[in-house]
Amino acid sequence: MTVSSLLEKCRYTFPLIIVKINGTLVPRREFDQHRVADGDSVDAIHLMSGG
Amino acid sequence: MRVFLNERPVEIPQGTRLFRLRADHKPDADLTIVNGFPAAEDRPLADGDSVVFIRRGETPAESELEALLVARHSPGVHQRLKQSVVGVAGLGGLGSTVAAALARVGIGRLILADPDVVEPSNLNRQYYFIDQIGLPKVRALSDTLRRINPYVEIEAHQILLDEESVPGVFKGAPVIVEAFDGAGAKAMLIETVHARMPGTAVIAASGVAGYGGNEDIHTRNCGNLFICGDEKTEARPGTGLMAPKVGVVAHLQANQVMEILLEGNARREEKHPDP
Repeated sequence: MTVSSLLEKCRYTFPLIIVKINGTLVPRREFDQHRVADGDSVDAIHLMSGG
Repeated sequence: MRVFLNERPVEIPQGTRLFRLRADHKPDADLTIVNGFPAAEDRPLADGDSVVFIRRGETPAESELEALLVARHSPGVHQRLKQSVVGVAGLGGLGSTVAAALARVGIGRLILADPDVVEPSNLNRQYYFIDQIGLPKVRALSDTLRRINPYVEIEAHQILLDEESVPGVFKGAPVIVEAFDGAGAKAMLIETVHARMPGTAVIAASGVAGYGGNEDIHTRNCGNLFICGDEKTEARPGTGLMAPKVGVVAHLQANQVMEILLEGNARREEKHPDP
């Protein structure tokens, strides 16, 4: 499964999300290609406008 | 033995007591601070003690001003902060407040970047004043910070940051505070620093709009990335940005900067291990 399909599965539809897999940031442009492996630790941070 | 009197090392006889030192150096002092805390009673001094004598209302001599500004710091903190460099990306409600807090504690150098000018609707949360309306934010904030602590070195950039300019502007800063308004800019900064400035900590903010909800405001850590906010309240029509909540998050960011600068990476990784 790719990062994109994982986010879709979790219904993380927020437009701007930072994804780190095992501590390494995956750039947004790679979401469709980057595969998530079994046992991977995935952090998804939703970025909200405001500041 | 040696004690630090208004940050100046002085040799004094073993057994010297606090009030004796005061009588010798500043008999008219009405505020005495020892190791960062006000001292009301006489006591023997110890080697390495930091002592500050202040006469209330008196503007200190130039040579003593910096020492007095940090008299209430935890001992040992000032020298380390003075050697530190911190970047602040965006000088709106978050950035201006973070910069002011860091200036108060005497960060050595602040690298500030923002393209905008001060306008009236900023004043409900941003650290600017009515007489600064129309001034570029980098200029207005620099003026204000110099009035708070003239010893902070300020590098100001009136610029709209992008992935090309970020590494150059913030070169030399081991910590960068993400204080933008737009989610797109937040993502740009986090991704750019991660890709091109490895090892640099980013203290970002997400979810700072509205009011109340203190129990939901937190700091989350993912390796070199920290996120402060409630991670759910987005600024949009009907949900504005206001000083109290924006200020809470800004001070969480500033406090996180302090922890990183003073406790270093090793200690941070021990407390917040990478997932």
